[in-house]
Amino acid sequence: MGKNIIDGQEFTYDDKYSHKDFTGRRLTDAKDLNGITIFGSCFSHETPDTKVFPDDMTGVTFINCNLDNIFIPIGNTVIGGSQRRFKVQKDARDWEIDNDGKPVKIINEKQWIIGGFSVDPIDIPVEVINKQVMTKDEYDRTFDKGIIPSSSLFEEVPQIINTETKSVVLVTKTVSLSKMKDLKNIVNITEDSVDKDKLQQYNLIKIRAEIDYVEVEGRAKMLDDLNRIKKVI
Amino acid sequence: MALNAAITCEFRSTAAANMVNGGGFRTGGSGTDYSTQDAAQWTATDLTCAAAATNIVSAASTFTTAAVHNLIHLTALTGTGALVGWYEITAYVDANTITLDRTPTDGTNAITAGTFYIGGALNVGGSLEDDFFEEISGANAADGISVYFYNNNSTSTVTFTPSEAISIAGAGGALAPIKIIGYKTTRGDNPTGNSRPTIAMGANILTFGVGNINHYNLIVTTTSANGLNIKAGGQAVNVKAVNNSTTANRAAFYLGDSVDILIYNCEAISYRGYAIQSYASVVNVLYSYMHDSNVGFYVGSTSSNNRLIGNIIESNVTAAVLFITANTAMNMFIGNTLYGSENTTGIGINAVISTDVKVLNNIIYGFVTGVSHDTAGQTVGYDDYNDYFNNDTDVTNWTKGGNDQAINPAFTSVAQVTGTAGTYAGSTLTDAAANFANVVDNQDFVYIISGTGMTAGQYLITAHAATTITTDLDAGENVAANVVYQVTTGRNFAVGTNLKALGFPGAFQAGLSTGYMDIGAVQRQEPVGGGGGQPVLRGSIVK
Repeated sequence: MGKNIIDGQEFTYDDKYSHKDFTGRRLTDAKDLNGITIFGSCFSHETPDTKVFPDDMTGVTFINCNLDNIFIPIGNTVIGGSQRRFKVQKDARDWEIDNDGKPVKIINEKQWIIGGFSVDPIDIPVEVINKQVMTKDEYDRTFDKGIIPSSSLFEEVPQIINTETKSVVLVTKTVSLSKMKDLKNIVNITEDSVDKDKLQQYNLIKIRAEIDYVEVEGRAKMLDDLNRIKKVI
Repeated sequence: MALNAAITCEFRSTAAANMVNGGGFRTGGSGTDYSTQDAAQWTATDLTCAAAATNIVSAASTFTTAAVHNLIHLTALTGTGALVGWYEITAYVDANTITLDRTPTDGTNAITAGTFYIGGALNVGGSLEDDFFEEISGANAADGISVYFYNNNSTSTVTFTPSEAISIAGAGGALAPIKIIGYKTTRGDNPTGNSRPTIAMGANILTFGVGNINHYNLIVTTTSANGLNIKAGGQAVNVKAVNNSTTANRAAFYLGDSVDILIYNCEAISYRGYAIQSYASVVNVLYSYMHDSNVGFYVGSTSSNNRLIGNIIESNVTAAVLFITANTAMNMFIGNTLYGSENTTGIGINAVISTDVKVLNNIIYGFVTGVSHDTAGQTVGYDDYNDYFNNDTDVTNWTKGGNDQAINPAFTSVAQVTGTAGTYAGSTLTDAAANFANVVDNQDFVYIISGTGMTAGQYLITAHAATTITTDLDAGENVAANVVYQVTTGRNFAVGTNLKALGFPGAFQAGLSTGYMDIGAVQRQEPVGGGGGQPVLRGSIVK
């Protein structure tokens, strides 16, 4: 049995389960958990409310453990540590979710802010971001010719509830100044600095445009303005 | 003033939790080092400090000169603008008064009460981990501070579970990096395997600063997208990083948007992603082990120089090496063993977009395609003295060198167990036709390829019997007896005598001579072979 102190209170803890890494693992068959204190172990899972402990586990005290996404049966105690519910979203990042499963706060917020990325859940795309910017055939056809196929675009579509104007983000090959001017004649459009350095590696830029959306079967559908933009690009 | 560069900090799993203690001491300081004990040497709640002063007073304490050059942690301060944090004790004044490296006040208001801890090691928890590392890497600290993680477990690793993400904005100095170091018994003993301490991050990211941070002798586990993030000028030595996320495309080591990174003698595994993901400008990966991932080494940058020397990259699903974007910088692969599987899996080096790749003196074994380049007729690549063996197709759009070989390297012990009729329940795969006797628990992985109700991917084997293996993560449930899987066993890639005296460079031009001709990353040293290829290769080719 180990000993430690928190806030002046000494406690003893079980050596077998303390200071261990159980990330992603299940202990549903463990028979020796009841009544013990577990200190400083990581049980984190990637699926909310995962049952990793026996349903009839009781009397266990978790101190400073990572219990993210872990279902803790009634009759056990959690002190300190982390007990968030999170889930990967369609921006490929982990977000804390509320009771309805909606993303409310990004995990590792500070790091994303340092990196210049959006931490606003409204910017989570409805569709999974297409990292394959263009197909190999498209690349072969266009890369050295300065032609930009419309399919080389991918869009980050904000979540939308009703028909409204939203800021849409388009990622495309670097646009010439003259084309940017043409675009600005269609809609209010600006270059977005988020991800700028990373996108430059792909000779891409991110532009943000004010686009009218309408909700169709729970997903945001873009109206004609976007197609007009694509034609210019 | 600031925290001195010679400050050395200590993390212990047995120390008072929640980052309360002082946790550091200036190496060579005049006082006594109290940072390696579990409890603080002095603690009280009556701290006071005059505005702008560096002297703090505790009537309840009896300080001695032994306190000098220990770190003191100030918490729960009462006073407008008071600055909690870690300070260095620079002088002893009297039994109730000591001097700090800088004032904990805002310069205008006094501290009328506060709690402090002098000495005692640090222990994670309390959401102060990030604050601590910001402190030792920020404006209040000189470059070069060392942080030790002590593994007090006599038989295995000890796990530290931080309560929050660590993603500090500070950095070490170009010539005085911050060092994060694991040790077992005494500082500097460089433990290996499970004698290294583990930092288990869960979904939290671990980024010790924006640059010039060196990592030694650690195990880091995570499921975050960017895994262990090594930044500019940083290095990792004897570090094992594991990302066991079931989300695709996550990294064990993430080398992002930076320059001059060294990964040496490290191990990297990402169950569904990239063992090492490189976006950095100049990356050196030397004598490291990337395995049982979707991709071993992933290059996402258009202009990064990646040099991989002497590595083993084995049993990855999609590719050992993958260039995902056009990379016009030179990428050098020398003396590596790239291994797919006995029944061939994935691609050895896959340049899916035009990329400058040089491939010299490697073993490329067990792939659907050994080396694949996207551009037919390209001449930017260079290849020679490699051994291509047991590939379905050795090369595509790639010209072999005149001295390439097609000889069985006769690895000392590498085998495979495969099956197509497994069942799976309760994290256990069962196949009556299998023989898992040679599986090594907590070392070998099973690659589940397909099966009704199964999630394909890599899984660590945690237990086995003759016809069953148990995986760390739950892969699904299958009663249809159609789970297709494969397990690489043995994993000893030392080569046999077949490759003796066949490697680069052979006879130098201009009459220079050499006997260093053994091929491959893991050399078999024979008198005829020459007694060691890598040192000569390093010295003569890669500069």
